[in-house]
Order: sequence, then C-alpha cells, then structure tokens
Amino acid sequence: MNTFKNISIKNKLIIIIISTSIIALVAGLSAYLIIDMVKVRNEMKKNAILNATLVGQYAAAPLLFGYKEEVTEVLTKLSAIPSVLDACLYSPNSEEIFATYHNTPSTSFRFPPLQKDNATFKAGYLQIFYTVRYKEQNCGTIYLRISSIAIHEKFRNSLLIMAILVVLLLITVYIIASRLQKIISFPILNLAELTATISQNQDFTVQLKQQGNDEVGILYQQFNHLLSQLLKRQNERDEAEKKIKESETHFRYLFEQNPAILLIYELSSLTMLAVNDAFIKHYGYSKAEILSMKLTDLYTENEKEAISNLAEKLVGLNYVGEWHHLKKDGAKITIEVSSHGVTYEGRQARIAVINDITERKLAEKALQESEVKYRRIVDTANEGIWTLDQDGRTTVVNARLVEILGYQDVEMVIGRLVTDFMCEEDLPDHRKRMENRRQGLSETYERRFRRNDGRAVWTLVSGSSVLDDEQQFVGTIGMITDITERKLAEQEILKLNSELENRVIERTAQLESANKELEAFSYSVSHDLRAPLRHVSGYLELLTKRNYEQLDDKGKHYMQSISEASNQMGVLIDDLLNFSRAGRMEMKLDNMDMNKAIKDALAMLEQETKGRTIEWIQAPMPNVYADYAMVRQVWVNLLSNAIKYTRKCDIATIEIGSISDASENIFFVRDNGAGFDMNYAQKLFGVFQRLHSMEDFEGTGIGLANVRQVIKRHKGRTWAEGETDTGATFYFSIPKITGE
Amino acid sequence: MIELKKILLAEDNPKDVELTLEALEDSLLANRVEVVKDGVETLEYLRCEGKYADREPGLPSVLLLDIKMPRKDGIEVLREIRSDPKLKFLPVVMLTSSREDKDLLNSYYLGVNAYVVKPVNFNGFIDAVKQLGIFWGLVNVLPPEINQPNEH
Repeated sequence: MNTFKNISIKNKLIIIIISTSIIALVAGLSAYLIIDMVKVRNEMKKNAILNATLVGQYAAAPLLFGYKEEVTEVLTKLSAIPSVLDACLYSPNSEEIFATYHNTPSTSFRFPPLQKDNATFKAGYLQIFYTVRYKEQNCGTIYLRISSIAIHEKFRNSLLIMAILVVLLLITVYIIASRLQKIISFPILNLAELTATISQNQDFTVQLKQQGNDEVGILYQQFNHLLSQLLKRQNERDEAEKKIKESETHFRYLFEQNPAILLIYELSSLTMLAVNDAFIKHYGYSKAEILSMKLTDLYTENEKEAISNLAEKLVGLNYVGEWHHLKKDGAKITIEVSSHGVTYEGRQARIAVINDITERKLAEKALQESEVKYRRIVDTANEGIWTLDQDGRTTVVNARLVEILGYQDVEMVIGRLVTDFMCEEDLPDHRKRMENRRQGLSETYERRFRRNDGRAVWTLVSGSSVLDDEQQFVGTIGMITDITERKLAEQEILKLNSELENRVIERTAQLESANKELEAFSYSVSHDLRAPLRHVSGYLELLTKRNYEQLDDKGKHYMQSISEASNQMGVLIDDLLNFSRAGRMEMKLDNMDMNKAIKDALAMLEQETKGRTIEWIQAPMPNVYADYAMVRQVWVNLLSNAIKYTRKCDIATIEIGSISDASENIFFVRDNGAGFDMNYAQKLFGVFQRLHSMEDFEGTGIGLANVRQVIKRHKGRTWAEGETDTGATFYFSIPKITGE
Repeated sequence: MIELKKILLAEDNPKDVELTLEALEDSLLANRVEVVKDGVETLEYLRCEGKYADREPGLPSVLLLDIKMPRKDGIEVLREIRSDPKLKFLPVVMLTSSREDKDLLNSYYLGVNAYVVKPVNFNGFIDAVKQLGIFWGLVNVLPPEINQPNEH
C-alpha cells in the first residue's frame, strides 16, 4: 500500500478511476455472463427436458410394449441433435438399461445407475434423468447425456468479448480519467507546486486564486488564510528578529562603548571572554592579549589565590569588594568590583564592572592626613575653636576654648547651647549675628561669655557659616580669642581718653582765653603802644619845627637820637604786631604757584634792589599746597634778608631753588653775603634774635621768626647753613599733601 | 551866606587832639574843629542832647572818629550813626592807631567812608590829617539832608 501512497495524485486518481471502472465493468459483465450462462444452461436444461419428453413420448409406447428396437430407433433419432452424446432408457421396474444410444459408437461411456428425475451438469456435459410417463403410468426413465461444450464455448467467447470490451473500455477510461483527473488534481498540484515555491522562497505574500467553493476551494481559502497567518507570523518574526538584532547591537554597543570598565570571564575556567574598550584603554592590554589571559592574571601575586577561590563561588549579583589589579605597564591600581552571572555565548560566565578607585584612595588618604593635621592644629591652636549646629548647639570645640570658658573637659561643653555661656543682655545681638550667619555673612565682633567660675571673659569672635554640599546652612564656626586683658586695657584707655579729652577741653579753653588775652594784648599794643610813640615823634617834630635853631649841636644830636629811637620802636612794634598776627591768622590753604609767589615777593622788594648789582639764579618751582599770602611773606622775608646781607658785596649772587623728595618740597635762598657763624644757627629763627649789629645791618629780628612761624603752621621745617663772610642758605620745607 | 560846616573830632587823648589840631592849623581848618572826648559825647553832640542840647543845630561835614575811646568805642558809635535815620548819611572817617583786620572789617562792614591809620611818623600824621581836613571839610559834597539845617 505504501507504494500507492507515494505515487502521484494524478496517477492515484487514474488508478482509482480505472480500478473502479474495471471492478464495475468486470462485476457487471460477470453478472451478465453468469446470468447469461445460467439462462443458457436453464435453456439447455429446458431443451434437454423437452428432448427427453419428446423422446419419451416417442418411446413410451414401444417401451410399454417392450419394443426394444423401436425404442432404440427412437433413441437413434437423437442423432439429429449432435449435442446429445449418449442416451439410454431404463426399464421402469428393473432399473435396467433398456435401450442405449451413443452419438459416437466407439465411446467407452458407461451409463450411471438410475436416479430420480434431475438435470445436473457434470464435467463437460449435462445429464438428465426423466421419467417417461404414459397415462400416468411409469414407462421407464430416460437418460440423456448432452455435451455442454457449446455452453463452454459460448462462455469462452463471451469472456473473450468481455475481455476485449474491458480492454477497450479501460483505454477509454484511462483517456477520460487522464483528462478528468485534472479537475481534481490540478488545483491540488497547483497548491503543491505553490507550496513548494513558497516554502522554497519563503515568500508568503502570494495568495491563491480560489477556483470554486468545493473542498479545494475551501482548502485554498484555508491555505490563503494560512499564508496570511504565516506572513503575519513571518512579519512578526522578522520584526522580532530585527528587534533582537537591534537590541543585540545595542547591548554590544552598551558593552563595548560603556565608559565603565567591563569584563566577562568564564565562571569555571576564569578565562577572559570579553572586555570593552574602556578596559583596553585603562589597562593597556590589547584585546588579543587580554582574551588569552585568565582573570587571576590581572591580580597582584598575593591576591590571586583569594580571587580564584572567590570567583568560582559567585552567584547572582555581587559586590566583590576592593582589590588590586596590575596594568600592562605594571602599575598597581586599587579597584572596586561588582559582578553578575550571565550566559555568554552559551557559557556560564560573569560580567564584572571595575571601578578604579586609586585616585579616590589617594584622595581619601590625603584627606585623612589633612584631617589629622587639622585636628592637630585645632587641638594645639592658641585660639578657641567653637562650632555650632544650626540650632546653636555646640558640636566641636578644642581644648583652648574649653580653657577660655574655664572648664576642665571638652565633654562639659559639647552639646550645650552657646547661649548657655552668654549674658542675658547680649542675646539680642547674638540673635542678630546668627541671622547674619544664616545669610552666609562672616564677621568679627566682640562677645562676652560667662565662664564656669561666673567671671566674664571678653573674646573676639571671627564667625563664619558652615554650609553643606548643597550650600545649605548647617551651622557656624567661630574662632575665639580671649581679649579680656585687652578689653580691660581698652576700658582703661577709654577712661584715660575721656580724662584726656576733658583736659584737652580745659586746655583748649585756657588756650582760647590766652589767645583772647593775646589778641587783646596785641590790640592794645597796636593802639595804645603806638599812640605815645606817635606823640613822642609828633612833639619832637613840633619842637624841631619851632625851636630847632635855639638848640646847640648836642641838643640837636639828642633830638636826632630821640627821633631815631622812636622810629626804630615804631618798626619794632609793627613787626611784632605782624608776627603776632601771622601766628593767629586763619590759613587759606590752596594749591599755589610758587613761581608767582616769588615773582610777587621780588616785586615788593623792588625798592631795596635799586642801585644794586645782583646776579639772580632761579629755578622753576613746584606748586605747593599752602596759604599764598603767608608763603609770599616768607619769600619777602628771606629775599629781603638776602638782599640786605649781600649789600657789601660788589656782585651779589642770590640763588633761589628747590629740592623735592617723596614727602616734601624743600625751598632755599642762598646768598654770598655776610653769612653767619654756624654756632649761632639755633638762634637765627628766634624772635628779636640778631647776629649782626644794628650798625652793620639794620633789622628787628622778627623776619626769620616770622618765617619759622609760617612754615611751622604749614607743618614744614626751617633751617639754615652759613659761614661768616661767605654766605648763608636758608631752607624751608612744605610737606606734599597725600590723599587730599 | 553859607556857613562852613564843622569838623567833629572824636578823640579821648588830648595829645592826639593837640597834634591833630596842629596838623589842621596849616589848612586854616582848626577853628572849625569841634572835639568830643568819647563815644557817648559824640552821639550827644550829633543828636544835640545832654550838654550839647543848646548847640547850634546842624551836622558836621565829617566825623573823625577814633576807635578806642572810653564808655562807647568808635565802632559802636559808627553802628548807631548808621542805624539812626537822621545820622546815617554822615561821613565818618576812622582815624585810629589800629591796623587790626577786625577793626578794618567792622568799620567797612558798618559803612565807614574812610579808614586812616595814624602814621607813627609825625610828618606822615600831619600830611594825613591835613588831607583829611581838606578833602572832607572842603572838597567833598554832602547829601542834601545834611546840608539843609546849616542854611539860613
């Protein structure tokens, strides 16, 4: 049957059709043949019985009468029927054969014993036993043996015809079947072919064209549905595959390009399976090198065993802790590893993230060292250090602060509110300061604290705010300096200051009153002292006018002397008053042109230079910040001195110059005149001090005193250099103004 | 006929008075000089009060006023003159020994017409007084109010 299964549908159909046809045909024909044969035999039987009847009719009488010849005669008549091979008649009583007939005399045929009436086909012949009756009287039994060859031949012919018919029909059926099978097989073959194509090309976009609504049509419909399902599946699968591919790419990218150092090693063998770019970059190994290494090769000698033992036992996600790796160049790094179990290319592996914490470790170490250092500074500082949390509670203090507050132990201060150490009246200020601290302001201020022994300690506090990483205020830190002694000293100073101030006020009042007195004095000098002088000279003049001629020479000389003395006194009084006025006059300070002051002074001295040969050496002068009129008077005094004391020189040389340094301008007047003895230089600038006789050089001794007074009021200095008969140089300085 | 007006000299020191008169002698002005000895007398004279109640009415052509005088000094006299409607146009010349800024400023602030420091030198003094006398006694033209009472 299997072979049948494997043959094509087309052939199957043909075979089925042909088989069906053959079966039908053969069955039909066979039935026909059998019916025909039965019919023929029945007819033959019928004919035989008729013949036997006929023979019997003919032979009845002879039989009855025992006419053997007659009977034989009758039997011989049977020769007309060639098919009757043998015939005999049995005697009615004796069952003996009465007469015989043989178509072929040479036959060896033996008649069977008498039987009841029947017609039976035997091999190749039909035998009939038929009782011959005459008037209801048994006259004997006739036996006929009739050849059935005709029937056989007819059967044979019929078979032949049938075979030919079958063959012809088969050919026809084959042809028809070959054609008709296409109706069924074509759509199926088409489907098969298409399926083959689809399965070969994996192209599910094809749809079959439905031929009809029969089973094939439904099949097509189902197939189309199936195809669309497949297409959908394929699309879904493609999409999924694409996604998987993308995600693989992503993951690969994530691995390769991950800035974190990643490695994958096989769990059982600790062989390195993959590392990413960051690893390569960080460790310096090439990819090929690292993939030929084991995980343990990365570790330092004394960690190899430990990591090997540990790595094999890891399951799931682990923080593996701190280890030390060696880079290709031998550099040792401290790392932190976290790893996770993965399946990598079918192998049980672990992926590890490596974090190089070498720098952090170093920084931590440095921080630790710096903390130790600062702790030491804090502990040994000469200033108290006091940190508070944002509620004002003490968090950290050093030994010095504890000492300042008069406690023995740090623990007696820690945790306490800073206000516990303060006086009630200082609290409003403290709150203000704390608010400043919250605003992030740092400041330095004085604060009184209450010591453990109840005494007050004055401190200078440098307070700053402490901010956390997010710039949020978390507390304050203060540097506390004990300034109690200084404070006491300050209070002492304040007291002294106020005393001093009172004394200054007192003195000022005294000075003012003295000044007033001086003013009154100089006023009365200017008024009252001059009046008598004027009277003296007035009356002297009147006397001269009226009585001069009556006087003798001596008298005239006395008159002359009185006149000169009174004149000299007048000059003295004027100079003294000028001097006194210059000392009291209000200064009008301004940026003044020194060159102009000298020019003006020289103009005022024109009278004195008349008829003199004076060589002037004059350099340009810097401007000064001074009272113009006063300084001009200084120049007048100095220059008139120079002119006066060079009077006896044939050629007077007077140099006017200046020397400047950072703090002051120095001016000088140098002459080649009478000069002076340096031993008396100190006296030069005193009031009424003169180094020359009135006869040599007239004067009151006020000029230089006036110069000194003016320069002193400008906060400058005056001095002189000289040598008798060689000349003198008079200097004065005016400070440069700074910051004005 | 217009009578020449007087020159009023306010001076407490008789020597100064003498010397001043001496100086004015040459200009023939001395006989026109009326002398008062202090500030109070000066104002009494000008206002025809006290011992001057019976004097001939009329203001002088000029008042030569010393500053330092007993009872009422020259500055106070000047201030009263300038605040008195009847006297305020009277020419006043300070004739004083004082060269003090304070006196100068006060005088000019109060509207003095001239300020002369008496020179110590007598010739200078003579010259100064002479010129004062001539200028104020003869040259200077007075405002009508002061002129009027002297007219007959």
